[in-house]
Amino acid sequence: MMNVSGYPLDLNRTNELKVKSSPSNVKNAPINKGDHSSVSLSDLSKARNNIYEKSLSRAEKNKIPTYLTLEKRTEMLSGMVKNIVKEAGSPFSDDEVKKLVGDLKIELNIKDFSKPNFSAPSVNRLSFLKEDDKIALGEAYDYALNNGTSIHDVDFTASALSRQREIEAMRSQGIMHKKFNPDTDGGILDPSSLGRGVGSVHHETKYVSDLRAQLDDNSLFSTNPHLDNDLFINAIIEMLPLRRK
Amino acid sequence: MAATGTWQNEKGVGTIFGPDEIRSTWFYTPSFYPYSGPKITRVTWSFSNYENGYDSQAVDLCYIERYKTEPNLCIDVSDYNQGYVEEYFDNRDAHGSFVLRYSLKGGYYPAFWSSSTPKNLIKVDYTY
Repeated sequence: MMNVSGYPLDLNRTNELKVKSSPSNVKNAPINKGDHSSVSLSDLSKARNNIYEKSLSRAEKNKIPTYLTLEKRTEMLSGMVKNIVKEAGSPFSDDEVKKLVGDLKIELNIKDFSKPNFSAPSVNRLSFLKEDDKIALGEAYDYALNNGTSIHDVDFTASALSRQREIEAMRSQGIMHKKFNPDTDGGILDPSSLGRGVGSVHHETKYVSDLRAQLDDNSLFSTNPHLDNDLFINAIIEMLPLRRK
Repeated sequence: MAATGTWQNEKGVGTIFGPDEIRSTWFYTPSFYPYSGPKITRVTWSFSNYENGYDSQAVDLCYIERYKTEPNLCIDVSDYNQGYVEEYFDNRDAHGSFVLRYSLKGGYYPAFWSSSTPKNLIKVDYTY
């Protein structure tokens, strides 16, 4: 059972700690520097708890995007844990770090999406992304991180592309899909004609207005060369509300 | 001359817990006579917006055949809160159901469906 506030303390893990900290096993234990005899079970357990909690807290604050490959997300989590171990000066072995990362992946639900199901009441649209899409988005994400350009652009693009992939998946499963065109498919109505009040009017956000302005200037994603391609830009165009194009 | 009929159903959507979550709401068909033969002539919809400050909201209106759970066809109505479709659903069994599939990008989460928000409406005109 996972303890949300701290390191998962199941029976096996507690036993494992006992073995590793017993005097007869010190020379084989993952802690391999300093005065081994001074490291007690409770010290080791506290250190692991501390690293686990810090890692969990940092990972929850700095969400690893789910549109990246599982391999990349694991690599990022592992890098974060290694940094925390280094900062804390805790002498954990690579195996210990690997175990921590494995437990954190479960706690943070870092895994591949299950196959999208069109009859489910709730589906994550990012599950429609292809592996190649995630790799390309990962390159754009890395560029944004390393060059201080917009992560939001990468995030929004991932969403726009997943919408395109969702529609493609529908069609490949024999589900017809089209965009409503009031001139050819039917018409638009005034809410009063349906005897209804007007719902809230959504105002375009500044972010979307900026995207639209960049599209008009042909400068969309000019700050991130990994986003500046037809696949991503067309996905964005499809995502923007038609009426305000 | 063929007889005509109408059924309609209204409901809200519920909470969307995060960006990119697609939340489906089913509009079940009420039981009506005749049990076989009625064909759709027009589908009218009206949907409300979430108020979480989203950047983008996608709404698909999908038709699901009777006894099925996956849609047969969908139309993206994101840009129009109220409207009607005629030919697209024409001649489909009027005992089929409809689903509104919402998804949001941007804004605050969880995105709640306010109690003051007008419920979404699906109205089906048919002939038999």
